[in-house]
Amino acid sequence: MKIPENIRKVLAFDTYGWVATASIILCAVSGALLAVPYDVANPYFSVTKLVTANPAASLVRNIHYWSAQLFLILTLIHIFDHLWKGTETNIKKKSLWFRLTLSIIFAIYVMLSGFILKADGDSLQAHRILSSIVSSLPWIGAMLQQTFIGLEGNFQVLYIQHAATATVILFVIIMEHARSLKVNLRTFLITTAIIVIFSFFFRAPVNGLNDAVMKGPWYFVGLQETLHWIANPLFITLGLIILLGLIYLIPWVKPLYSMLIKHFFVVMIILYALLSISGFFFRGPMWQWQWPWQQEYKVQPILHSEKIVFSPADTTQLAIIQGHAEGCVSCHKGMSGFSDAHKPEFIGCFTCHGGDPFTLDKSKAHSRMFVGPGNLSNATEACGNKGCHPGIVNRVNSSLMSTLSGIISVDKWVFGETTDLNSREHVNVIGTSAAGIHLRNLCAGCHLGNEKTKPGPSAWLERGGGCLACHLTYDEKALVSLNQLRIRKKSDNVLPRFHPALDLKITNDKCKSCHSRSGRISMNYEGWHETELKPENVKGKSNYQVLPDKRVFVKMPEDIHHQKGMLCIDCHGSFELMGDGKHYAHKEEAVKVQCSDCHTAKAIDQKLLSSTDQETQLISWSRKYKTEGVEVILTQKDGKPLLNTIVEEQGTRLSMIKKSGAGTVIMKPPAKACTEGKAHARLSCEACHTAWAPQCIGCHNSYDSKAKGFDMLKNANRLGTWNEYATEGMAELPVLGINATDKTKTNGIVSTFTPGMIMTIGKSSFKKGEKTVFHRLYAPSSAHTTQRAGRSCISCHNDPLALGYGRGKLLFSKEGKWSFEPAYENNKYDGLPEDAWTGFLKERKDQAATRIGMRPFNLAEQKRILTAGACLTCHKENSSVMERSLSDFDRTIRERSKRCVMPVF
Amino acid sequence: MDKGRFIDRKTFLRLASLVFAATFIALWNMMTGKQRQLMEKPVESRINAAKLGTGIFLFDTFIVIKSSGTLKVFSNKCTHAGCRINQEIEGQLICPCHGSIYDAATGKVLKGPAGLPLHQIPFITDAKTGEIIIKV
Repeated sequence: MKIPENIRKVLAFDTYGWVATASIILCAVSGALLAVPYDVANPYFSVTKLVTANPAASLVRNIHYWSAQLFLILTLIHIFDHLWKGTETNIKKKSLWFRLTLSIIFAIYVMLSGFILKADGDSLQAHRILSSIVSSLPWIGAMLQQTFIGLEGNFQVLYIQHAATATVILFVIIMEHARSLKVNLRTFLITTAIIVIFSFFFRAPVNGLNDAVMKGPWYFVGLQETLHWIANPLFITLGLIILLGLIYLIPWVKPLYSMLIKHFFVVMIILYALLSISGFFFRGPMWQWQWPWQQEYKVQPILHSEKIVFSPADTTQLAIIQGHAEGCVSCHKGMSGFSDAHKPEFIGCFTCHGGDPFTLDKSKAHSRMFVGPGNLSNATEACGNKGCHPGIVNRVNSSLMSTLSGIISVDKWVFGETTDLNSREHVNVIGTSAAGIHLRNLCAGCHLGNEKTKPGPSAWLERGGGCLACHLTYDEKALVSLNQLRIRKKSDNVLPRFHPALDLKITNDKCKSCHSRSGRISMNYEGWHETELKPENVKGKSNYQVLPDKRVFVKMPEDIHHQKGMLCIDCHGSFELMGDGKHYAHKEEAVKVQCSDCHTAKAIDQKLLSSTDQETQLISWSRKYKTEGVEVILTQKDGKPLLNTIVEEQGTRLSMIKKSGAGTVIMKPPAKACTEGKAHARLSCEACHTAWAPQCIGCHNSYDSKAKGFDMLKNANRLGTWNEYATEGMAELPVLGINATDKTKTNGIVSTFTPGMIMTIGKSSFKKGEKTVFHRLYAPSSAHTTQRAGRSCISCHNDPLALGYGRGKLLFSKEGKWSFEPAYENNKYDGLPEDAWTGFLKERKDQAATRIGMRPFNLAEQKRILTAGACLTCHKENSSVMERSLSDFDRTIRERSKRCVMPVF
Repeated sequence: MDKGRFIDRKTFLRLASLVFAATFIALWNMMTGKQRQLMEKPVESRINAAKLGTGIFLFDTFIVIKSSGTLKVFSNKCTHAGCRINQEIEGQLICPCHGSIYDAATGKVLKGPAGLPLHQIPFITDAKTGEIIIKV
């Protein structure tokens, strides 16, 4: 085998020791040159500047780094080689072996100090760790720390010891060991060539100041992992000293012990390698364990490839952002459109967009960048950067708009895949069961984690986008700039001039792409109800609106709050929309604001805006609100400030600053009818003040295994899809029922409901042998169609829809008998009219709502409501009798006239 | 050993080296000790606490925790290996180097490797300006 032997000879051009010596000489020479651009007073700035804009210096730095790495690797191999062959016994002098053992410390010191001197975030932390560990050594710790590590934030001592003292000591020991520095010229040239070529293509590491993951130098990743498990780092230091002691003992102890020590080292090396691999590949942000198959799995590249280019690029305008050079701004200078908090002169481009900030090469700069920073897939690194909004990003991930928990748990429940309607679910882990595919086909598109992939304002069918879903605002200039980019040729060097803003201008339109569906609260709020009409049916008609997704809406009464110019975010604050860190099961838990927070005769809880939390303060600052001496309302549910409210006159005058910029609006206390008397004490505000709510009769769902459907979670077509056949929606007063989860009243409150899932599911179409299931579940509804005047008395007491019987005629006979003629036929599965919630004067004992603790009126409640309804068949709503009945209904009944006909049940 | 001599040459040189080394180390120790004294002047920071909202504020060398009615200042140096704690998530302070987690409200360790709570830094309030003065 001559050829392999020849190859081996060429590759093994000299001993490990001599190649290591050649490397350290090259390292020393390049180090001397590197002293020119390196500025010990501004180390990070000088390093980033030379890497970005001084290719020759960058090459020298790379040579310095790679020759040092090669020296370390070969020195370790050299030691291992000798110990393996047992040639350490050639050294007869204990003092020389002692000095050689000691030289390992100096070699590591030189390497580690070099790592620290690059002065990025990892380096600064390493400086602190080294300082802390050395200081903790008994007796000599403080002395060594001051001499070899120096003060935090001051690299003078470290720099001098790295460049001079430790290097000199290392060379002296090498000289003594090898007796010469005269490396064979061939060896030196081959080593240099290898290092220079490598340095030409691979950049020595330099990272950001606030990277999500902090990693030490590659040879210390295993040590970092070990430190994660050991409470007192002093044990590590002592362990390392013991290891050095064992190395020292190898030549001088009996052969058996020496062999044992060597085997011990082999085991240690294997363990250390495993720890290093786990630390490098499986440690994610926040020191969390990560597996490669996890969606958020990210690992830093092992080698950072960047070819040195000696380009004539103009480096006179190299941008300096927060103490470091940033190549991005050099090309993208002069952009405008940013909100105050996100101006590139303060945060650069890299903070949000990632990529490579330390290059002027376009493709390199754009590699691994986030085109859409703010998507939840990158939000931890972009918006959640340590210096920016890490807490918020974490909250968003567990917020209801990210998890979709309620939708999933209810869907799984109706499919019989869970028995717990309150199970905490997350859209990211929806499987491929019947309910899983149902959700993927019909529901799972509306969640914040849905990736925004196209630049530009979100289109109607684009949902999600993480932080961008709400905070990305394109003004006219940004749109023009975007269009220019869209039509440019690849060869054109047109750079965008205007950047969309990331701001707090969260208009109602941003909520609509998701919230115009299901309960359709976004559309209800503005007074639009969805119809079955086609766009061509309504051409030229003013009371219709065609949405970009071709759905036709008809004009209905708008919400009073909308009429007054209020936006969605006027009520729903940051701790609701971005979550408060808790993983809620349903929207009623996540929504904290209540009507009575603002509509009260006297503020229930209030606080000075200047003493509220940091997030509220920042929003106030951003909105330029006056904060000094201004009191704001705190929500009763979670005590969070409603920062755009103003509490005046000892809490009796409450107003709201409209975010639409249209001044303030006085928030009136509830009318006397709402607060006086006990007859309606259990009524929620919305039970009376909801003008209308979109409702359907029911729907049928079946699975077509041969048709193509869209998987909204994967954003791709799939074979086999669930189809929903729904009836036309109607806009009517909501159904009333009991919400016993509201603990403000004994036995719960009377609240509004609409059909949630009156649903037939042909499960056999998904899997043979399964039965068709039918559910009659109503869902709590906040229709967002608030009107100033409450609904009439008869709209509740004499209306079968309100009482849950469904549409039809509710009649009271002269004999005192209530009867009901349903408008819809009875359903074959449960015998109730198609649109009913409960039977006429019957009580449902099964799970009747999509929430535990919510139900239609029970028999006693129905009778009581219908008794008042009987009175209303003769007495007018505003009659004195009926008004008196509000304060004491039972007394009014006792004192009734002989002519009154009491209902007979 | 030659008669009449108190100590032979080799032993003398060894002893002299030892004395020299001891003197050198003593000098080294004295120098660094004094230098430490000279350099360890705490840096004074002034914070207008009234203008801070409630919450957790990460400064360069310390962390201010303000809740309604109370204000605490902790060192941001992780008690494990001295790293700077630069991340707060939902009331938890997280050390990026080895994953120690502290409760921001109390400074207590919620998750190791750190064993000791964060060092609480005393502060005084400037009666004239209302600012708090923190010396680190």
